[in-house]
Amino acid sequence: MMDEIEAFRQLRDHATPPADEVGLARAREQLTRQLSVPRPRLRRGHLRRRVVAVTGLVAAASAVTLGLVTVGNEPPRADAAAVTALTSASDHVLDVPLPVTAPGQYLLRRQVQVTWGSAGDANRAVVTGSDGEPVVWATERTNEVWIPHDPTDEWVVRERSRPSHLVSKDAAALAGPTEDDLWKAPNGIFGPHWRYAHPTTYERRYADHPRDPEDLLAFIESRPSVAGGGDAVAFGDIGDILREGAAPADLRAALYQALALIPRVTLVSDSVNLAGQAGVAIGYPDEGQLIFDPQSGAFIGERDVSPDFPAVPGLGKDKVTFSTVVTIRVVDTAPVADASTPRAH
Amino acid sequence: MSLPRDVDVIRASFETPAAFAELFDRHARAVQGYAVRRSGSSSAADDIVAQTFLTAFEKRHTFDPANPDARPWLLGIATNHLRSLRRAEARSWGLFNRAVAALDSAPDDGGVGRLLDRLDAQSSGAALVAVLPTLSDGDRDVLLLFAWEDLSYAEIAQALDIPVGTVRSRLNRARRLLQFALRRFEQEETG
Repeated sequence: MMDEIEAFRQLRDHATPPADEVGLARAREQLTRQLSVPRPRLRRGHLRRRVVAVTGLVAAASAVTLGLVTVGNEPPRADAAAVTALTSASDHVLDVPLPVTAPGQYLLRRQVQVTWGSAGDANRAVVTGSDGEPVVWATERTNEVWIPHDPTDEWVVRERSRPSHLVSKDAAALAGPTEDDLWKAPNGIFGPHWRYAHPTTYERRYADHPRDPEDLLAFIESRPSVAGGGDAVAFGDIGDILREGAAPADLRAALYQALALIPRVTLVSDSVNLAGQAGVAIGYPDEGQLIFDPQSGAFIGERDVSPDFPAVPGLGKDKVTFSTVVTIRVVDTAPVADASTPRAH
Repeated sequence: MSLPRDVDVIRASFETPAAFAELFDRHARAVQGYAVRRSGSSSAADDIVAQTFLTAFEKRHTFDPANPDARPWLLGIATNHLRSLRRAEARSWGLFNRAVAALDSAPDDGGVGRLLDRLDAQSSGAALVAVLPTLSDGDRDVLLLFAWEDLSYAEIAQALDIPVGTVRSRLNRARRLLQFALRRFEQEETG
């Protein structure tokens, strides 16, 4: 896949007209006029200070809340309830191999994503639309890939997008149009930068991932990472691998165990219903939640909650503003292009 | 002798307010570039620059001295002021929606509309820009600060006063929508 950020970055020059020196001079003049207004002097040292002692106390308090208190020489890890659920999932998922197709069959990988959005003003308050309702919306996007048993056969991709909830009718423009597209291509190659790996390559792809949970976590955390990464990035990366649904059973088992080794991972809820599928939710602060069935080890999807999101009809009390449900199964047929719908390519 | 750091300039301005103009000379172009890219209007961007530095001066005691570079802090203040432009737009949502229908893509502000004008409507760039309005405000802020203003995760966290983990998850969401748009475009190009 082409790096979409790099592609987006290339637009910067188009978006940047030449610098307006006159405007800058005017803005500087405004500032200097303000700077020369007599005002009571502030004392030196008014900058915000980092109060280490207080930060330390807060950290200790959080640790107690999250059940992270280190006992003896035990390293900190996920809270006890999360460890129990993850261990159970790890034990059971070993018995669940990746689905295997027979000649003529397809592996269907489906992701359904729901995103809530809102238009905010300078004070981060939600904008009110012309009908008096808050400009809040939800968009549902469904991505399905039919992977043929023989990789040289035709692959099928269907992508649908629709505004699934409009609180104000003015949110329609922001929620995007309803779209339904179907594409077909042999070998999983849909474009120069858009291609899929066939399941027959999965084993090779993950061959370098250690199966020992501690080694696996260290391996994931050693990847080129970003500032402030560490455990948070590892949690996110593990979620990425599970969501992709291509990891062999022994690696999925190790991934669940690796999650149990991450400090600050907690069991958020032991009964989550994501699009009709029941599971448990484990979370890492500000990294969203991973949902799985501890009885089977099946990965169900992910979700993110936004407590600050406005309370609006249609959005639950727990303010789940982002969710993805993943399903993978073997099917006998793939959709055929139809003259009416969906739009075939 | 090396130049005083931004934090030293801000400190000096507590005694001598005029010293704060040095911060303007260092960062006004960066703030202007950010504002014009997002607002699509030079005059609106100039207002944003002026407001950003006036706010920064009034709130300079909130600057965290652990950060030697003031640019992320200033871009965060500019981000808040840019939201006020949307309030003005909100007063004419009807007009806005008609403009959207005409473009067959939804600009979130003048900037996106102008940018679409400048890009070939059939280009992958136009496909990516069309994603911007479908992002939530928070996700869009993170994407633009990361991709166009080259702030790191930690700097974006500082600018928007959110945890680094939130930066990552917002950027992840934005990336996935960009991938979605890019896939469509590539297929239409080659299919």
